[in-house]
This record gives sequence, structure tokens and C-alpha cells, in this order.
Amino acid sequence: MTTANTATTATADTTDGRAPHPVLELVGLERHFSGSGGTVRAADGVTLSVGRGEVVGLVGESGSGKSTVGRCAVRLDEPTGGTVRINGRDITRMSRRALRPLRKDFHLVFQDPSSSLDPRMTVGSIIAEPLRLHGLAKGEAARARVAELLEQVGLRPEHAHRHPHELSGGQRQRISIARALSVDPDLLVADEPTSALDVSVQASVLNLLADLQRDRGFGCLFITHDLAAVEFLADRIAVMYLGQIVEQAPTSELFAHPKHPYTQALLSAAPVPDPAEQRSRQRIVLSGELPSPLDPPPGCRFHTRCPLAVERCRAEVPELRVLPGGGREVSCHLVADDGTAPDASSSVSS
Amino acid sequence: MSTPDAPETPDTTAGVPAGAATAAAVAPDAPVLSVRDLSVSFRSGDRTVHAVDHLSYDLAAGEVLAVVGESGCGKSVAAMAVMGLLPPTAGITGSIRLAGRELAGAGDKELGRVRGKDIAMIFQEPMTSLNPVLTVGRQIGEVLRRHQGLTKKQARARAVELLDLVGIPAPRQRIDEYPHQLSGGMRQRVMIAVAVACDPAVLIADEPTTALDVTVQAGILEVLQSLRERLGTAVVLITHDLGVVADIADRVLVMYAGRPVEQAPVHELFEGPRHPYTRGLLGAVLRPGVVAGRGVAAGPGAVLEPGVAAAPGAALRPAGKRRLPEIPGLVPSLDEQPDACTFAPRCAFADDQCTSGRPGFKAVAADVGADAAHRAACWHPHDVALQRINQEAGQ
Repeated sequence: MTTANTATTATADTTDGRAPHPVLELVGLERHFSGSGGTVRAADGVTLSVGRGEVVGLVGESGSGKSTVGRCAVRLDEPTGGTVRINGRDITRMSRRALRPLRKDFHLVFQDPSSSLDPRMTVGSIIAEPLRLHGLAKGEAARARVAELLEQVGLRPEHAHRHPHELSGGQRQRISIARALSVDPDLLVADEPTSALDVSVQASVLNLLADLQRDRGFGCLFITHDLAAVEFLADRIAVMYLGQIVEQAPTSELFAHPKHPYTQALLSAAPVPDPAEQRSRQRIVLSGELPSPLDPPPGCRFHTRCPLAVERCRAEVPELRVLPGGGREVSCHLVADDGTAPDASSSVSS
Repeated sequence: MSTPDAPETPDTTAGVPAGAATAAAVAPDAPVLSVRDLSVSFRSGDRTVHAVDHLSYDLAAGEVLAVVGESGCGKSVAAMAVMGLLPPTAGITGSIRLAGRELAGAGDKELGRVRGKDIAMIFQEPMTSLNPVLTVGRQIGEVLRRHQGLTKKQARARAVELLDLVGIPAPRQRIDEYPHQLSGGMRQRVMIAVAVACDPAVLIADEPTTALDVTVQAGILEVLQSLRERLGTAVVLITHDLGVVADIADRVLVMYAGRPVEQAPVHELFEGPRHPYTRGLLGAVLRPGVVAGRGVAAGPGAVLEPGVAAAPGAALRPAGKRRLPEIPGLVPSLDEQPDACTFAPRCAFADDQCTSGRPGFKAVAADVGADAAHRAACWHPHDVALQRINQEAGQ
């Protein structure tokens, strides 16, 4: 909640008359999957907000629940608890029908454009479809808008007549982005939009997203496991572990001074593309495996792998606390109230 | 570049380079794997795709050679050719020598004796290579019994040792588990255990950590590192991840559109790339914890304090306009391998020479401090180096 307030204040002066709400607010979001084997707590009390024109990175490893959060945020998945608000409006339990006209306000871009684009449609009709569905443009107006969008994402108007399979992976991802932006949404949820692409293509898609975001000012929830990509694009980063946010901070601060031992381990594990630097770094190798979200550990969920865990971590659930200095939150018993954090690498023998 | 002369070497002389008539034994620094002018093409209908075009490299004992490139550059196809795993429809020419023994053109039976014993391969997705209905112990044991003639009991004992070697906790329990009971990282460790069971001289690892999370990847890279240290295994590491390359490789070979374009010791490649494509690739890659878009790798002095990935300048993230360097244009089709530089259409340095003649894969001259092992297939390697130096000086 505190996050929501901070974000609102931070962006209040850029709302140009529109409602001063964050474009996305998640409060205590839960997505539990019940099955015969028990309940998987994929998202378990996630509170997060994306301000107008703000890019928030949601980072975590496989199984952390980051994609589930993204899907719940746009109601592609049904939250089992908590609240989802878009532009201040609670959409958590809104009917599909009532939600439909609101769908132009938020869009999702998936990781793999070859599975999210209809192979039988032309690029032009793929991009124009949201315009048509929301009754925003048709005929010549739609065609003109498609040409304009294609140009904005760095493609040529002729591409409108092609089919997805005739294009490269990077071009297909540009099509997904053009489609998502066709209705000028306030919120773009991008789930690993560059992970399936080659390095040089990734760079161009990230540049494109950054340019479009700056020019059009949409809010963006950027979900990824790629720390370098999120650092490039995001203003603020939330780190997830086993269905919960363990740390949240402005991007530069998170990279400069990660507080949570998990964040520290994650940053230390991502190799830096510079041999001299990479070989002089100390890597925090986590012991053990990601515990099953069916049966998350008691106390701090990270304690089974944390090199610094003490008795209290095994017994008591740490709260996500706000640290002084603004915009920082962390859930770790070992981080002092003044923000002094332990160094997980100190316990690692090199 | 020697051409293959003796396609088959009798087993009795295995280890003696067939091409070197004067050599009585393998020189201590002779490469364990030597690939010369390897080309691979596939025919489909009336199209021929030239996936690999005249690739040559040597791999020394205990060395980690990273083969780097983007999708479709031929890095995986070349590795499959070395392993003899390509379908018979693939047209393969050139020479592949493993400890002096010619593998190109060898029959299945002969390859079967070598594969898994002298040379082994691991893949990106271990679930596709492990047998889901056999326990971990059976899969490792199978290799040992086949190649080393161990008994069931001996094979089991050795399998426990191997699981321990690749860092699997509680190997005595894990040995009776099935692949689906293991996490992705543990499966990859099992794959490595199977691959190194017979202590091969060469391990080919095709994107071994691409499907894994970074914290899991860190563990796998440490396993590969320890294999090299403890067993002296030479590794061909195929990857698109320059962070992984920076972490573990001794030397790097960069491929583009089926051809080798640059090869150099790892520090030299990152510090002084001579091929415009390598330069573009290094520029396009993001560095976590460092202000993006700084171009080619930071110079020396960017060394981190031990500890977390806080880098100098990280706190100075500018809010304004930042762009990552891109490589303009698209990868060419592999339908033909023209007598020209295939990177020329995307290259800022390209001139008439580049579009009318294929550059040789030559040593770059040592006058600008390049290592003798540094090769590039470019007509203008010095201009590339100069531009980089000037840009860094101007920053």
C-alpha cells in the first residue's frame, strides 16, 4: 500500500488531468491453485503498483510466480484473493463482459511471438484487430493506423500484407508490440518480451520499448529473469521469490545496494560479459533447491537456501518493511530498520 | 591448413596424428581435437542450405573453447557434425581429428566406440537426452558397462562417485531416482555425469545453461570448471551468452552465417575485437549493474569489490535517453556462401573489397599488440581496432 502511495505522489504531476491513480495496483494479490496434491501458492500476497508512465521490473527465477502476477494483473488468470485495480478501478471480480470495454487500457506482450500471433492472419489484420474489437477504427482509418504503427515499431507498411511466419523473431515481437499499442493502452504488461531473441535483436527490441515508452508514456510492468534488460528499462524493480516480493527498490539502488540476501545472490550469479571483471567477482552459490510452492518453508521462505539464516528466520515470517530513504522495501529479519543490510557473500568461502 | 589425407586410422595407432609422418608420438601440446575446413550442407528440395562453411579450429587438452554466435550461425550444426550425430542427408566435408584419429567419414560402428568414451556431448534440455524410464544410476552405468566393461556392481559404485563429482547431494539416494524427480539443474548435472563417465578427452556442451536460472547456472559453470581442473577435460562450449563466455572460456571462436569470423584468447577478444560483427555483438550485450550502452567491454579498472554486483557508475543511472548499440540489418540466408564477406551488407566498414572477395581467416598482425592466436576474417581488422581505440579515447 505504501508503495502505491509513493508511486502516486511521484507521478501525480505527470498525469495531465487524468485520474491521479497508478495505472496498476495490486494489493495482497493471491493466486492459489488447488489440486489433489495440495495448494500451490503461485502468488501469495503480492502488493505492487505501477505509476503512470513508470516502468516497473518484476524479476524472479522460474517458479517465482512472476508470470502468474502478470497474468492476474490483466485478468488472463483469475486471482483467488487480493485486489487488482487498473486506473483506480477494481477489476478483480469484474465480469468478463463488464471488463471487455476496459481491455483497451491494458495489454500483454508475451515471450514467444510465434505462438501468440495467429499464423493465418496477415500482420495488418493482427495489428488492427484490437482497433476493430474496440470499435476505434475500421476500413481506411484502420489501415492508416496500421501503417503508422508499423513505422513506429521500425517496420515498413508492406509488412502489413505478410504473415507472421515470413518474418524473423525480432520482427514478430515488433508486431506483438504494435498490436498491443494499437489502442494506446495506459498499461503494458510485457512478460519476457526479449528472452526468446538473439542478443543483437534483443538490443533493438529493448531500444524500441524504451523509445515507445518515453514517447507515449504508458506504464509498464516488465516481467523478466534478465537482470541486465530490467536494469536498462525499469525505473523500479521488485524481486520475487516463491510467490512473494522480497525486495523492492529504485533500479539504481537495487543494483548498487541490494539488501535482501536473495537479491544479492541473484545479482552475483548473473555473469558479467567482461572476463577480467567476471573472474574477480565473488559468486554467492545458493545451496539446495527452490522449495516446492506446494509446501513453502515456514518462517522466511528463503531460509532453506540463505547463507545467513538464523533461528528467527526459520520460525518467524518477515514482513515487507519500508526502509528510510524512500521507495525501498525489503522482507528480511537481518536488515536493520535503518536499512543496514548483511552481506551474503561474507559467508561464502571463495 | 592440412587437408585430410588418411581417412581412417587403425586402432593400434590411435593417438598418433596420421597426417604427421615424422611424429612418433603425440606432441604434448598437440590439440586433442582438430577441425579443418569443416563444411556442412543440407539439401531440401531444390534448395541447398550451407549451414557451416569452412570452419577450422584446434582444441588443446584441458582448454575451454567457447563457440559464440546467434541462432542459425552454425555453431550447433558444427558440433553435431563433430559428434557424427547429423542425419545421413547432411553433406559433410573437411576433417575432424580426435587425438589424431579421423572422425569425418567414419562409420557408425567406429563412431560408436568413440562417442561417450573419448568425446561426449551435453545439450540444452537434459530431459530430451535422458531416458525417462531409467533411473539415474542405470543411465550412468550403461555407459560404463558398454565402454569400460564394468560389472553392474562396479558401475553402480562408480556412478555414485560421478554424481558426487558433479555436485549432486546425497548421491546414494539420488542414484535410484528417475529424471522427472530431479530439478532442471540436477538433471543437467546428471547429463554431465553421464557424459564424463568414461573420462572423455573432449566434452561438447551445447548451451548447457541456457534453460536454467542464473543461480542454477552458476552451479553448473562451477561443475564444468572443476571437471577441467580435476580431469583435464577439454570443453567446446557452445553458447550465445557472452557472460558465460567471460566466466569460463579460455578462447573464443565467433561464428556468423556459418563461417568463423574471429578467434582469440578470451581477454583479448573482449578487449580488442577485430571483426565488426564481434564488436557489434559485444556492444549490443547488456551488462547487469553497469550503465547500459557503454559499448564494448569496459576497460581494466572496472574490477568489482568482492561481494555483490555493485559496479562503479551503477548509481548514476541517467533518466534521460539511453540506447543500446544495435547491429543494423538481418542475418543473410544460407542458400549460398558467396565469394565475399557475408557481414558486408550490415557493416559500417564495408567497401568494394568486402563485396568482391572473401576475406581469409587470418592472424591479425601483432603490431597493434594482438596475440598470435588472434584471427579474424575481415579485410579491415585494423580499422575496426582503431575506431574502437579512438572512440574510447573520445569518451
